[in-house]
Amino acid sequence: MSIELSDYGRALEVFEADMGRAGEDVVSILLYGSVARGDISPGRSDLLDAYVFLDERVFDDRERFIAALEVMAGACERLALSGIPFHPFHYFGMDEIGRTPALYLPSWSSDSFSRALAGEDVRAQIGSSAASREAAAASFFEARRSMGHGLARYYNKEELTELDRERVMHGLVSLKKHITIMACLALGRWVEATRAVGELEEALPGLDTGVLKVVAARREVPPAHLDEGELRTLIREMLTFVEDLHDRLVARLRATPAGA
Amino acid sequence: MHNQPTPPPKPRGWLAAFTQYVKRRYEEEKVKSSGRVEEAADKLIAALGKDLHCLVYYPHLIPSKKFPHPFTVGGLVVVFNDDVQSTVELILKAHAAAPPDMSLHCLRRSELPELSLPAFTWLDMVNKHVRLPYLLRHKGVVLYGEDVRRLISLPAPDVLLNLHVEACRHFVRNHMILGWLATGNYAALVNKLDWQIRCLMATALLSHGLLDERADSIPESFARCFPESRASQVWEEFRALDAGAAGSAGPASRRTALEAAWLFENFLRCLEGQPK
Repeated sequence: MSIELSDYGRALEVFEADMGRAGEDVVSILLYGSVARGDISPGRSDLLDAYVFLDERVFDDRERFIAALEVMAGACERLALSGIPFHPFHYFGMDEIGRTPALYLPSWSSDSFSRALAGEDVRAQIGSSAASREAAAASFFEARRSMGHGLARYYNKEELTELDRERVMHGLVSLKKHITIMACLALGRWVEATRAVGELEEALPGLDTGVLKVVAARREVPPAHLDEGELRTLIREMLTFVEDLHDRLVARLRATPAGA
Repeated sequence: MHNQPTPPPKPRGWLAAFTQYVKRRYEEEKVKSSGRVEEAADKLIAALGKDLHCLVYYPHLIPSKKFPHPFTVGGLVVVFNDDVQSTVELILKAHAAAPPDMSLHCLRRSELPELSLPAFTWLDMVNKHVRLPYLLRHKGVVLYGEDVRRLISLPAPDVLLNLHVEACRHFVRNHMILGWLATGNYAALVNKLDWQIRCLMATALLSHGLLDERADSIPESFARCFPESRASQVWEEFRALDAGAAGSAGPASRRTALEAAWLFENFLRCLEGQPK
């Protein structure tokens, strides 16, 4: 099945109509990611990067909560049938709007990165706790070990199965997206994910980001067609990038702490 | 003549057999696990040579219903000397030497404080990461080199609990609750929420200095430590759900999964208001 740009628009219309069944219990539906930015790659961009805010009273009443959940799960079922790559959206109570994860705060700062699909535009109210901001700014260091070093397991494996190749590619793409934004936050630069690489190149002169461009170019290749040798090279180069980024980051933070 | 205390009755029949089985499995796993740790340590020491500063093992990552005792899997912290220029080759060697199911943390000695930093990441990582500093400091076993356990600082337990709750709000609601309701994976949803509640309870128990909790005894300890919390009542309601119904076909199974999601939300909200 070939996915066209127009399919995304139709899927969003169906989603909005489905969510309408919850009436006023849905206060706001916000979009972020490629769909909100308007840079959809048909068939590759997934649905649905969205925050749904529910009336906080929904969480006080068992039957009202279950009814809202049925509406949201039903909307997910329909989206999954669209043929477009799909993952479920996030939902919060309006009383939680000041306690969302800080890692994603930059997405809500501009119309270039997010927009309201339905209901009130509550982006200006979205906030995070101080602890969440602190965690977001420190997340790079855990991600270095789990996401970055985690790929090393595959480097020396005798044979990479198709599943291994898929996992390696997924890991590389995930690192490209997340480790860069986490590094920016560690530097106190609260930028949206698409601006992260440029921001790092500016903040840390000499950082070689070449492997990120290679990963971006290779992500379209089906896992079965990925050459084992090439994947091993990519793992080593990504690991070299992550470690170099870490060392430069630590040196910078020791010289000028992020809050300074 | 003093009255002798009456000894507790010995288990008989199926109970005796079951008790024996559990004890045997526990000892087997303990020994097997220790053997694996020693083997991994030997390989790591040989692979890293003079660049290895020390090696610390920590048991019991997260409460597991499948292996409820505290000696399963665990992880290793591999500490390189500070004068190591490039860590890339060493990390590749370390991962080649360690068993793939064991968590591995590689870093230089001066980077040890990074192990105690808070993190917002995927939920399975948060579940593992949140208690790491406590496990290292209090349950870590030095297998080689300097004893660095005293250098591990301990984050405030309430901060860790709030971060754990935040990660659940972000990742359990979409991927687990909406995702599995939409695909009709009701029994898996109920089981996973049960497990996730135990993980949250384990994090909450840090504020009472409890670390060795087995998955099956965590709820009891939680109720004992937080007698005023409504979270324990919510857990009782959750436990009363007919998990078997969630695995059957028909509307009853979906209803059970929806009820489980409702109780999980309630549990999260109770934890946020937990008396410190």
